[in-house]
Amino acid sequence: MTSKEFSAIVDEHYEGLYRFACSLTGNQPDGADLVQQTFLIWAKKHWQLRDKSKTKTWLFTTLRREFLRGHKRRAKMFAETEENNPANEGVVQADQDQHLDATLVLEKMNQLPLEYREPLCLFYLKEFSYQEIAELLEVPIGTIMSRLSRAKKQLRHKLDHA
Amino acid sequence: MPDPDPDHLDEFDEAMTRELGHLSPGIGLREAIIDRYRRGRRVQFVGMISSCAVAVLFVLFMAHSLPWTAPGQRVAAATYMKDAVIFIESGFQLAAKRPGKQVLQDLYHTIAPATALQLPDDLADTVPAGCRTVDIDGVEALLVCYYLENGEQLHLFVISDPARLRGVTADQPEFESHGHWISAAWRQDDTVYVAVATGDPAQVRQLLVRHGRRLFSHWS
Repeated sequence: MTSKEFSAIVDEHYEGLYRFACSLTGNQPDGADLVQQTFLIWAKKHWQLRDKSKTKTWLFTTLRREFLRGHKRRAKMFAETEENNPANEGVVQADQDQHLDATLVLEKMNQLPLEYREPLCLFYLKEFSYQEIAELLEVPIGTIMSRLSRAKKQLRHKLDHA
Repeated sequence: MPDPDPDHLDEFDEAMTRELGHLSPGIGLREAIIDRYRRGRRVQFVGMISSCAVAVLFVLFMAHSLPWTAPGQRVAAATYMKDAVIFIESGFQLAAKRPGKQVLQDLYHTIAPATALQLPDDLADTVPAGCRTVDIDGVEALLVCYYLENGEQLHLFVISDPARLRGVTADQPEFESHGHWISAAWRQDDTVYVAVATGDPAQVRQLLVRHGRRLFSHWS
């Protein structure tokens, strides 16, 4: 894969992956790390994917698996404040002042159980259909529908009491 | 980008979608990903070049130090003769000096357990200068060294399995010159012999033929 081809894949998917990663990790620095890790895996293993139309699903699935694999480590990092993590400076340039609501939504989403958080974020990203979300998370579509319903209800409740 | 299900996007959903959309990774993340990829490719390239260099060195080393012929594979007589000369020329140790018949037979049994040693007819009663076993091109042989009348040495490789060498006939010895060395290969019954001697090629050839006529009675 040439650098140009790799850059094209990054341009197409990195923002969606970043938002999904942030919703999983609950914070932007760890989300950025997760996205970088996902593309690193893509660079090494992209040849395994024969159907290139599945690239997006492959990336999101890989990101989720990486998150689940390193969940404990990220939970520990989440306890650190962003100021104490200078390694991430200059990588993520989110404008916290302008988007305090986004940060609040992220914070409240992160209080949801993971099984609710995953489908909810994928749903709000508007990147996937219900069927695709079900395939990505490897659960029946009916389960996705019910989890989404409960997730929205809980998120709305948390935001109302924020 | 497919719409998941527009009917289910109520006002709350729209607001959540909008807020999550405000989570911007910025240009820094993109550059970090691509830079990491490029650095990885550079390291991979350097690693690949290094691996190739090591592989080439390894192959050269193996080619220089090990026989290419797999066990059991047939070897061209010309190849064996050339490699036999290289072996002699490189210098070697003997397993026994002035060995008797029993020593020769015992040593031969280590490479051909079920075969009795058959030396060329008139050499059978000559006491060798020394002997040892040797593996050249994957072909095991008993090497027996004799002094010729002119003071030169004759190195005789005795191979128990004639099928291992290609191009050896029973009727006429095949001669090969290798600089100041000369070699001859022939077959007698179920044994193949390869002889190596030094000296002027023409003289050695004459010597071998002369010795052959006297010592190896089957030579015509």
